[in-house]
Amino acid sequence: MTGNSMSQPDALERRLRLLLKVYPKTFREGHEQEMLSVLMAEAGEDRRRPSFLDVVNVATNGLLMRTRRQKFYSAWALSHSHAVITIRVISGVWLVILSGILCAIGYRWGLVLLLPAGLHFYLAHHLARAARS
Amino acid sequence: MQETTFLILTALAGGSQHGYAIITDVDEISGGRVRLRAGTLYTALDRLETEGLIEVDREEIVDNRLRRYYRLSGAGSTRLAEEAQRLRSHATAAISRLKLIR
Repeated sequence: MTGNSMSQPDALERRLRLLLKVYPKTFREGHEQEMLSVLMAEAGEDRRRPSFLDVVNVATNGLLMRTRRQKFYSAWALSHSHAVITIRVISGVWLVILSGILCAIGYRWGLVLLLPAGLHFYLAHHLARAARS
Repeated sequence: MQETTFLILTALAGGSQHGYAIITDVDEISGGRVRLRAGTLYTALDRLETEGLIEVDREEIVDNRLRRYYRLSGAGSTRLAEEAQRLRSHATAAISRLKLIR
């Protein structure tokens, strides 16, 4: 054990705290201590790092919590929804026109522009629905 | 209702418990089949709290760290009872159709 300047529980705790950073800050403020207690108890006395499965489990759930708490649209987008939707629809229409022109001139790959056009239309519709609720 | 959810609510139906105790209890209830990990547990607890099925009972300081106890809410109790009845009637139907003697 010479050369091991940190006792094992401290190294484990340090690594667990680092791992728990995957969770959103607000969640950590509420639950970090609880999760540390559980993770350290699961690890047992003689471990220097959490088990591989625990790491995968915490990381996956941490990312899941981040997506849960994410609001899809910012407050700005919601209050300016009419402007954003208009710009998206115009962009979509423009890409469709451009795609048509490219095809007509002989650039068949111009069809690929229909994909971002579709995405613009879809996002405009999605925002319209979100702004309505 | 997911099996994990059902097991967590069942564990709490026995009285308020903190995280690690819930994991141990679920392990026991499921006969060693379901061993919840920390990530899964706290994601589930967060969801159940948001849905109003569980609530925080109390907090204690143990070994210099916060320990939070959870309990079933009234709504959680009702929901668990409904789910338990549903599962029982399904199981009864299966058992009687298979003509197993119980």
